Amino acid sequence: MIVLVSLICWGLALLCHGLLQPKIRRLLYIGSGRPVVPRVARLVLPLVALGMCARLEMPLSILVWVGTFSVGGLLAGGVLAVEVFRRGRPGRF
Amino acid sequence: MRDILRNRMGWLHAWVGFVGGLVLVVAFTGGTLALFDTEITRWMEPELAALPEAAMTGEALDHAGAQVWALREKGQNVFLNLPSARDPVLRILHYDGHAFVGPVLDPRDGTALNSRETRGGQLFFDLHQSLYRGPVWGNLVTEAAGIGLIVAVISGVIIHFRNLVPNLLLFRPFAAPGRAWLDAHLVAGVLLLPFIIMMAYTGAVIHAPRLFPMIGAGHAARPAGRPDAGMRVVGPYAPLAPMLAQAEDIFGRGRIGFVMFGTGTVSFYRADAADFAMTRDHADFSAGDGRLVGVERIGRGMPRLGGAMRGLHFIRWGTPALRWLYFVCSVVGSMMMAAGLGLFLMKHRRVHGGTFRLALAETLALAVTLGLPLASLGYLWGSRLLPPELVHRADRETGVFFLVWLVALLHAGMRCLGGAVRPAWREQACAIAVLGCGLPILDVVSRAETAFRLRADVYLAVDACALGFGLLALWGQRVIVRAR
Repeated sequence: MIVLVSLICWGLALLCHGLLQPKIRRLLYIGSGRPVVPRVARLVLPLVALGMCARLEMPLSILVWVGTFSVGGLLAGGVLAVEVFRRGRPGRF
Repeated sequence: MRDILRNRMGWLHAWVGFVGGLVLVVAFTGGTLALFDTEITRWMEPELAALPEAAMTGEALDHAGAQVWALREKGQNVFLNLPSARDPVLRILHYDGHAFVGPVLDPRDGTALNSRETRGGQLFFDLHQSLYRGPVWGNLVTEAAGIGLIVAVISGVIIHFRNLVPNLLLFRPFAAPGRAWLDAHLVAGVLLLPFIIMMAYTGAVIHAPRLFPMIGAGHAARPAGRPDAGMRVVGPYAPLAPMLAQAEDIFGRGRIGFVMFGTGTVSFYRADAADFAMTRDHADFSAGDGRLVGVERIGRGMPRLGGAMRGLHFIRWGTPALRWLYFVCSVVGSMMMAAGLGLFLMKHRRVHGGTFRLALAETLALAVTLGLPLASLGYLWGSRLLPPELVHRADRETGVFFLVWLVALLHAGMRCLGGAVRPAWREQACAIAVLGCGLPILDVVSRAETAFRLRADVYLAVDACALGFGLLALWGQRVIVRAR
């Protein structure tokens, strides 16, 4: 359960990070604003994940936290890629 | 100045990455499968599927001990592996030069279970650490490639440094092929950076004594049939069960992994899964009267640090969830390296297209990228198709693996030298799809009496992974067709 929660937190945090990047925003037709919620979420959610992982024994907690960063990032990257495709802009790379 | 550095690092990354990558894809793929070596071994022993879950009894341990002593009196260098959560049977093992193999015993009474002879998942462990070429040349090549990985990672970070954070998730699979492969390589490489650095570093540290033999202790495992000097001892021997109880009092219940038999002594070693630091703590008993004669624990300092490095790398102490995390990261890491090989070839096709050198590079890249997974699936198919009672069965099974890999290499060579690079990739992807998607069917057919008891066990996990990789290959070959 802790692994799953950490994975979700990292996935959402990195998704927010991705949504704040100018290149990805252009691909998704998102304006050039700097929304507060994603900026806060990308800072807070990794700490929530760390807090959850800290309930595990050391060094398992660190490995799970770092491992879920990698897998969460891959999932977030996949979601963004699908979203770009869904918005019908595959030819505008 | 910065661009000159990036250009030079680009050259270094490309060449070290390609030459080292040919070895590293093999080592990484082997390591990925070796994460579940015990589970793969169990999948390859379908006779054990019908065995009910049962705790080891004292009678079984004593019976197994008597068999080990009998074998040692014949001069065989064997030891006893105790049941664990991952492998709930007793095993009398010896090192055959590549893997620990031997008869499987029932944990209830210590009688032999007629399981087929196999190297199981340990083939992948051997492939990972020494490319199946033994502790000298094989290790040397993988260690050199491991250092190459560290060089490639550092140079890659320097090249990509400015875009490391902004482009962390920038993946455009529907862009032009070169762009899409570069994105995949970068996204996977950056997201897996902590994992890859950790594995490369711990792997290099673990094998440092072999890189610097003046401080190394050599290869610990000895093949069976080459007994230690003065190893032959004669009974009677004390029963093992009371010794195990004492050893568990020292190291904790269920924390003993295996039992070694020496000259007049029996040593109970702590399991690798017992602690994060993988040490060889053990309690020694007199073989004649079962008296405790000593306890050896690895203290703090360098030996324990070395154990921690091994623990991080081998992850035998990890929970199933952590092992799956490692597995996913390793699979993606292998794909990232394979994507790097593909990028190198795409870049050089423009200048060197049609030359023998490029065709050779294409052949080798294809043989390690798709040929190795194909051979691994062929190995699993061979395990179920070869007759269980075949003489030298483990060698034949391994032979199937290398034969399939050789056929994949020859196929890649013929097609790439003939200029049909894209069809070559597509055909091997199709072969993976057929073997991967067909493996669950083979499992059900060849394990008919237990196959329909659907539960989350090693059979379901291996079948699901094979099916997943088969479907991925099927999708991959469709992408190759569409990209014409």
